[in-house]
Amino acid sequence: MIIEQTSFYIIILIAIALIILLIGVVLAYLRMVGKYLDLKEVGTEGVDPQTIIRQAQEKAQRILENAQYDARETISKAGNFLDINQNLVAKELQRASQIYAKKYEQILLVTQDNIIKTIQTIPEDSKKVLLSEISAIRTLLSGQVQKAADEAKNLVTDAYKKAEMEVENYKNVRMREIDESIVMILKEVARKVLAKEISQEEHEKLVLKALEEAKRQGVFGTNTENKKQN
Amino acid sequence: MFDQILSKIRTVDDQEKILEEIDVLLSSLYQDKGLGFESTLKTSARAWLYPLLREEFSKEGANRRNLLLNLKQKIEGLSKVYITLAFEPSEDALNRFGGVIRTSVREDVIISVAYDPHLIGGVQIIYNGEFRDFSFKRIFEKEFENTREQILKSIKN
Repeated sequence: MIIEQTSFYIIILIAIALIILLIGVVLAYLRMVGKYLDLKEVGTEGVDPQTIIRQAQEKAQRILENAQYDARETISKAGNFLDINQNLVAKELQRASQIYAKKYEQILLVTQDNIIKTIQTIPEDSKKVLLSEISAIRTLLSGQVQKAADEAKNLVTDAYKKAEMEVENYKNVRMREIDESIVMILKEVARKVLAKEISQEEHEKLVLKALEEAKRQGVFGTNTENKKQN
Repeated sequence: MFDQILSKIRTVDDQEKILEEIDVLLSSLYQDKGLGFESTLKTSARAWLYPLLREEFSKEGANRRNLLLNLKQKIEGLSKVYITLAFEPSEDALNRFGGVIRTSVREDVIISVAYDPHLIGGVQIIYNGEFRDFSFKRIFEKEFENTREQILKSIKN
């Protein structure tokens, strides 16, 4: 029921809107028609185009003349203003340039004096500074040179000492090796000579003596002990 | 028989050779139904061994194999004295050395002889794990070390 009422109201509203729209369209139409009719009436009254043109020309002429007059006046006023002011500007410019020139001259003079004084004092100052710098550099350089010389000397001395020590060590080592070699050679020679000097008989005697000594020392045990073991 | 054979073995070389001969005899026991043994005994056994073995084998009830095996065992069990000499001894010298050692130790000891000329003279003995140096080498080196500095001085001078 509610939905049907709502739809009904909507339909009514739409209808009203359509009606209003229609009325508006009709009114616009009627106005347009009225204008058309007015225009048509004006066109049919028989106005002369030549007259209109002439009137327009006169009007335009008047406007132009007025404009020209205004322009001439403005130009003349401007020209006067320029003339007046130009003189003033020229004068002021001249005055200002004079002032600046004077000031510049003064400044130049002062600067010139100062520069001259400075230039005159520079040699002395620079001489002093230069001399002091030179002496400082000289001192520094000589110190550095001395230091470098000392370092080099120390290095050379150390290297020499080290080399000397190494040579001495090497010499000692080699001497020891040579001594060892000599001793070995002598030993070998003595051994060979001794061995050759001992005859076969003497060898046998030595061995028998050694065996007797071993027996005496009990290297072979006692005879009774060994026989008991058997 | 064994004592006689063992007394003839003086050195380790003798021992090895005799053992080789016994092995050859053992391997020839059953060749040609026992006939090969006789010829092997004649040709392989050394001169003094042959009559001793022949005598034993000819006894009644003698078992050749057992005899040879026992002999081998005895020979292998001989104790050794190791001596190092500075010279190569003659047979006589070796016999004399062996005699001294056997009287000192026992009859069935054998000698292993080594040769080292650096000993100069005398002998080094190893027996029962004990080592004794009766050579000149030790004395020589000791004396040489003592006089080493003098020698070097005299050379430098």
